[in-house]
Amino acid sequence: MLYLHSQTKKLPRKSMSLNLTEEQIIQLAPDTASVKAGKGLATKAKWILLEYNNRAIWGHCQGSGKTPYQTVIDTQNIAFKCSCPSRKFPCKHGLGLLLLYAAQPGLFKTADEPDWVTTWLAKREEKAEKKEQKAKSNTPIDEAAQAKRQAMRHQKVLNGMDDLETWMKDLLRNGLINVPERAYTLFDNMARRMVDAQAPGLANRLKAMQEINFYDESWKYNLTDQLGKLYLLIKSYRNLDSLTQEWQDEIRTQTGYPQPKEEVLAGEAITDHWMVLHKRSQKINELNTETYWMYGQRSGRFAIFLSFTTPGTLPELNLVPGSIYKGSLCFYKGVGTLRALFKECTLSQETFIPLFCHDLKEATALYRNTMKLNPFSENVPILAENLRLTTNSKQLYVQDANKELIPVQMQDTVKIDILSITGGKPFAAFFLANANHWELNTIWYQSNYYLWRDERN
Amino acid sequence: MNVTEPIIHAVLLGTATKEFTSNGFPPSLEETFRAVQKKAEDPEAALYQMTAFTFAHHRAGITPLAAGNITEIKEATEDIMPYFSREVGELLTQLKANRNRYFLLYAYRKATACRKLIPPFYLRPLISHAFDRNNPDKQEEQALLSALAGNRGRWLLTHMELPDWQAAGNETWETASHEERKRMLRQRRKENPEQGIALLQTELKNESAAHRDELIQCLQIGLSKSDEPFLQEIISTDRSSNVKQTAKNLLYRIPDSEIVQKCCDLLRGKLHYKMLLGWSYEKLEYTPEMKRMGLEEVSYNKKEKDDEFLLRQLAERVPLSFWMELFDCSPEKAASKLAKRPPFGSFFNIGVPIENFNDNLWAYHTLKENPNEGNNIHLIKLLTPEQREDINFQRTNKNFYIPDSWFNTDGREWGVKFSMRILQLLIQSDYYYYSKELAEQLAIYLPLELSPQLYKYTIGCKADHSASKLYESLDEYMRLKERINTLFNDNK
Repeated sequence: MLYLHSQTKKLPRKSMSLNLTEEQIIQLAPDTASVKAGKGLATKAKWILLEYNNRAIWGHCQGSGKTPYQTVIDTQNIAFKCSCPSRKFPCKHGLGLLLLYAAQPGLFKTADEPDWVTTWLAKREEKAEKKEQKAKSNTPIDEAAQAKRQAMRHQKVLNGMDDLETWMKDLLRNGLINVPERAYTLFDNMARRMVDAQAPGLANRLKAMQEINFYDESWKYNLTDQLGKLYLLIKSYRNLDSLTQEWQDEIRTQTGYPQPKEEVLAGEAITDHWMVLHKRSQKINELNTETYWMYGQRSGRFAIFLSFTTPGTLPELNLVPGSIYKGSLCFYKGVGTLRALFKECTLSQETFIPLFCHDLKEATALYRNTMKLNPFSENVPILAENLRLTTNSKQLYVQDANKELIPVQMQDTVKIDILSITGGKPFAAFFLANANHWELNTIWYQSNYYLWRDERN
Repeated sequence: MNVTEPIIHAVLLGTATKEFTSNGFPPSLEETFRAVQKKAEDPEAALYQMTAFTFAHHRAGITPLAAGNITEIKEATEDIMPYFSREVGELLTQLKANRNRYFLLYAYRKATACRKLIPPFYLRPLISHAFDRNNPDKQEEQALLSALAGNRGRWLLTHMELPDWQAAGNETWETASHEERKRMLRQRRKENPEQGIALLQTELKNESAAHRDELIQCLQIGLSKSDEPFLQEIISTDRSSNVKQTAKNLLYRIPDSEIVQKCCDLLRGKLHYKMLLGWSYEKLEYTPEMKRMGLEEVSYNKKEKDDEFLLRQLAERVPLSFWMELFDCSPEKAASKLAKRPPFGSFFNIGVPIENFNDNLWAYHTLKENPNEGNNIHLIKLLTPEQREDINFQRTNKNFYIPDSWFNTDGREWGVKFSMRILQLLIQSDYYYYSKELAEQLAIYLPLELSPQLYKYTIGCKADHSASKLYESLDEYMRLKERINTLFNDNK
């Protein structure tokens, strides 16, 4: 699947009052089967009753039984309720009702809430109030207690690291040659130990090792590299006091210490027009994680915006790849860190083409500089132009005008799509660069932007 | 050699049996290694640190590769014909993704009339689908898509490791598989029936009996008097009785073939029709020649007389010209008379000779005269959409379904009257399951004028009625059809 964006694009279709696009609603679905079933129910013929007021929309859907299902959606803070027996959340009726409302709001009549809607909304309000009261009643921060907690966590992390180091040394003593046959269980226990040790960053690194493709020859490189980095991280954390503040922040973040949102937003903001270059969707621990790579027009800076949602909830910001947003970004603390938060953000009607490296020499220099700055960097964003696809047996490369090459990785369908679009002519591309290969999912050809879905679930 | 390789080699083998020696690395790295080894508490700690240094060193030194044995991809030849709008590409890929096989072909047919090309961006999924071995319409899709994909599409085929459009349809008879041979033979029979016979004769003897049988069945297309010698030869020389029977059946389908003429000669003078008295029959002796012709002596039905059974078999093998001669009238009148008062009462199945000779005129007049006769309903497939408008059939069968053969292969829309009759029959039916494919297929044949009526049916139909789902789908597909028509009319 792919998207196409012309630089003269239109805004996505939105409903009058909900401001939800079809794609946004689809994101609420627990699975693709629900999307399909929901779309099937997004027709008037399926609904006996379709009503709304300023708080909710509700309807009666005729199922296979005698009594129709009662479906209601809280439009002020999206939430669903349905009387059907489905265990999926939201169910197909909820999705169907929302899709129908987004597409044809005219079909819905204004009406007073029936009792079943009022009861449910009242319960929700009650819960929200309780939550608010709880937040308000929070006592002021006890700094001494906080410092104590931090010291305890630091000790826990250190203890966990001791165990991890012993385990890693055992692994190395016996050699990594037998890892592929044990990979399924080998990393799992230690990853859990790291979660217990309050070092989720280390746990994630171990899980990433477990997910290496051990059927591919490159596993040896990837596993050795990742173990080396993990060891470097352990050593760096132990020497935290001897590091600069910037590196301390970096290492703590890599280990899994969160940086509070308020602190990040209190930092210096960079105002610019930010183009969304690429979006990657992943499901991590039942959490939908969207990673957006962005590029600032004036600053020429890359940024990464992460969005986490649980199934059935909407993200705060749903950025559309290829679109440009005017806004201020506050970057997380660290060394050459790209992760940032939006302080403010509005969809811009302006268009621009980013600045590209003219050849692969310039592009690799950029990569080298990033790696020198922070050896923990992964998926380095690079923009380059005047490239063509070439092959050598099964390996794909991009070649520049100087006939120099870089190995690239992409799905076969993406390769054929690129050839289909360009007809073998030069194009510009956005890469996520790693040592062995650069990943290509976005190209520009004749000022049109093409993006391929990057879903890793 | 990559600087990381010795390190990878060392970590794979482990430190228990072999000590890592830091030789052969760049001087700056070797110096660092020596320092690390001195400070490290054990060999494992040292090796991990050296690993981190080496990989960081490798990454910080990455440069582009020089072009060696690289195969450069040549540029595609530019297309001269204009491209369709993006909307057309999106529609076609959506039809493919939704598995609307009938609408995809419908849209392709409409698109070919516009003399424009599909935007290159949408070609890959459409080409893949046209070459998908599980796609039942792949041949037709390939033929239509070849005209819509232009030079870019042809160029893309090589990169998708697929054969060229023409190569896909031009396999040689010798190397083609059995299925491909059947397809080639059918195609050749449509274009030039005599060439089809020549093609078939080349290797027929080397085929198995089952394959010979299937190949000979392909001769139904474009069957004529000129095929008679070949079929006669098969009957006299082939080793398989099944193949012989197939050839004999084909001969019975040629109105002026020797065997059909023999049936006419045998029947001539044995049937008499009088306005008031009806039909009377003369006795005909059963001969060994009749046995060779495939006629049977004794009826399976005890209520039918054997003498009349023999005559009936002959009557079901003669063309309309025989009845014209018997009634001494025009073909239209002969067909009407025969439909009104058929010989042999209920034993005579008039549909057999009509279907056998594929006689459109005979079918039309028979149905016009007697549209509600149970056996005749299948003859509708032989009629053109215009002729179907005149057939006022009323079915009371609650299990009505539409035979596949009613969907005319030319893809022309049905008339309003015929379509309305079909819709009414469907709503009266108790048939419990209508597939989505049927709705899609029907939507292609129903005229758009029926859309308001269809919407009324959809609204009026009870949700639990078996046809309600069908009407919903039909309503949806009619809108899709309208969209396709508008899109391609605008692109002309």
